[in-house]
Amino acid sequence: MTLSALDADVIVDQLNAGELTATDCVQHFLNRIESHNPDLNAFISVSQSALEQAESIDQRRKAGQTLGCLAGLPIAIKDGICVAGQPTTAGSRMLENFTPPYDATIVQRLKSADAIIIGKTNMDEFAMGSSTENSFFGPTNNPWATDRVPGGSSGGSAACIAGRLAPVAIGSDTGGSIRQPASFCGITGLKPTYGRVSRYGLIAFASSLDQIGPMTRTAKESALLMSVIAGFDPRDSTSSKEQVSDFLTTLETPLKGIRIGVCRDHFDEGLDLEVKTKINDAISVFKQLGADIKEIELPHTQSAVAAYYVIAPCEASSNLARYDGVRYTFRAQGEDLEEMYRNTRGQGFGDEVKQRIMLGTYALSSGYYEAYYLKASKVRRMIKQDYEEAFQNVDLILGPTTPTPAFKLGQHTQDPLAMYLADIYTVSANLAGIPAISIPVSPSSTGLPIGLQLQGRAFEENTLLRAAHQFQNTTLWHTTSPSEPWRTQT
Amino acid sequence: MLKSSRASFSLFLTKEDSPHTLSKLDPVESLMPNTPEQTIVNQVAKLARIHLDEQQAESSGKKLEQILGFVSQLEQVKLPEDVTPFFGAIESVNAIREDQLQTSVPREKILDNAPESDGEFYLVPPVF
Repeated sequence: MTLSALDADVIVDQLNAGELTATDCVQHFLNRIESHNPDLNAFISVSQSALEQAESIDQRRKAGQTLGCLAGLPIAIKDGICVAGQPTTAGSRMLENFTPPYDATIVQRLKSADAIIIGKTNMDEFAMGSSTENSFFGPTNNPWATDRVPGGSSGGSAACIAGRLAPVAIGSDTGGSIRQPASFCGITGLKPTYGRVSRYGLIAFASSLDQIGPMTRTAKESALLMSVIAGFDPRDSTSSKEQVSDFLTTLETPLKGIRIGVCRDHFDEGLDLEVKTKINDAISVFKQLGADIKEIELPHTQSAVAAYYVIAPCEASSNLARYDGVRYTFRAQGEDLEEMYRNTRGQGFGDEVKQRIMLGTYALSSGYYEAYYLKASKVRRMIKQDYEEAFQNVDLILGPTTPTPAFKLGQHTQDPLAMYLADIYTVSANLAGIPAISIPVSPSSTGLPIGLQLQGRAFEENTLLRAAHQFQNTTLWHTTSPSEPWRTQT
Repeated sequence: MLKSSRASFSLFLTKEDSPHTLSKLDPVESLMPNTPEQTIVNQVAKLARIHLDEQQAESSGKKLEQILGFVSQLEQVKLPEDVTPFFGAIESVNAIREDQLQTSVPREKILDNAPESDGEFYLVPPVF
């Protein structure tokens, strides 16, 4: 079996057993990036020091030193997360030349575990998008069909896992940005509970919604990464002190008796018929695993996309005020300070980012706040309450991750609403702050991946990971990779 | 500057400028004077400190109208009278810590990312 086909936990075992060196492992994935990134554009930058770090880990291992639990494992990081000394662009011209002076907490934790950051992955600018077409550095292509989008905003991370340019990756999810690309690329993606993983060093989009999480081929790999990145961080005032579960040991607990809720509204209008069939097939698998499937209602989730597209732009308009041509590398000249601000932001931001800043600016303006932001925040409360009531009767909620498989590049670029509706099933979890995971099920007749979403109670990522792992123990969809050379048309 | 911009913010597109003017979403429409030369997009762009050329303003205006039309469905959502807004994804309390001196990133490293600095301060165009 080639290195590309191995799961991260197997790679770590082989490294620990001395059957594989970190240098060979890193070199393998660097070679894959060199050969295949021109087709995918999944990476914005590749680490210049990854090989050097691998050699150092091999030497330390040889010398009998104690190493971290991910020693020698290459990992790709979304380019909206700060890595000290490495370019971190958030997919924007505004940060094209920005080099963070510090590591995000999750990066620091991964480095302490001796993982090797192999590169920074492409994304929609400032994480605003559902296709990675909004990147200043050009779109990422889906390795299952390169004329299709990989989803977004963490499209680079999803595509690099599906294309086996890295064994595991990290993404961030504000309204579906981990789960929707995971669904489009046939991989596993977990958005943890808000506060479970530190946001320190994550370039902010919408601070009450943003959350960092793993993007991997299997649920077990996600559990492995969560065991490193989850937990309280004094540098993020919204990070939780709630005890961190042991994500790995609970994976093998059988699902017999678990109660899984299905919301019929999520199977109605707008859902692709083939996606509906494949999700129903997956429900049968969960039944065979001993799950008790129950119908539930989440009435206010119908308004979730509308509430999200008020709340997220409002927060973005405030967060992105910092890009003013003074502190973050990019400046366009102007006669006076005011003109410099306007020119910098006019030229440094792409169209979608400008659109959302303006939407947020409008919605927060005097006379409009009540009608938009306040109303949306009240609807958000009702969505949260819907979940709280549902979780009194069920342990998990199951449904499609996205209404359709991956769409074609350019298909929705002129129609913002069509693009926003790609998030219809994912935004509610961010609004309510609960964890959710996307896992691959049987693909479409044209060979495009389809994702199933499980949502859980706050801080019960272990239940999500366990259900996903048990499903993956009995199915093979997560093990399939697109055959090379990749299809260019569907 | 911001204050005066806000005061004139209600100078939106007139109905002649767009088939779907934002005014129908405007809770205080009747109080607003119409000033045709000032469009909503330019006004919002000014508040957001974003320069748009004419073509961008037109395209942006159409999309903004479309999105605002979509999110206006929130008006129809019936809510219990006593519902409190939910602003954060967890019900957090103030996070406080001991007031202790800690090292910070050195100034030079921070200024490395500045478009223009004198090694000690950020430099900006004339304010006055």
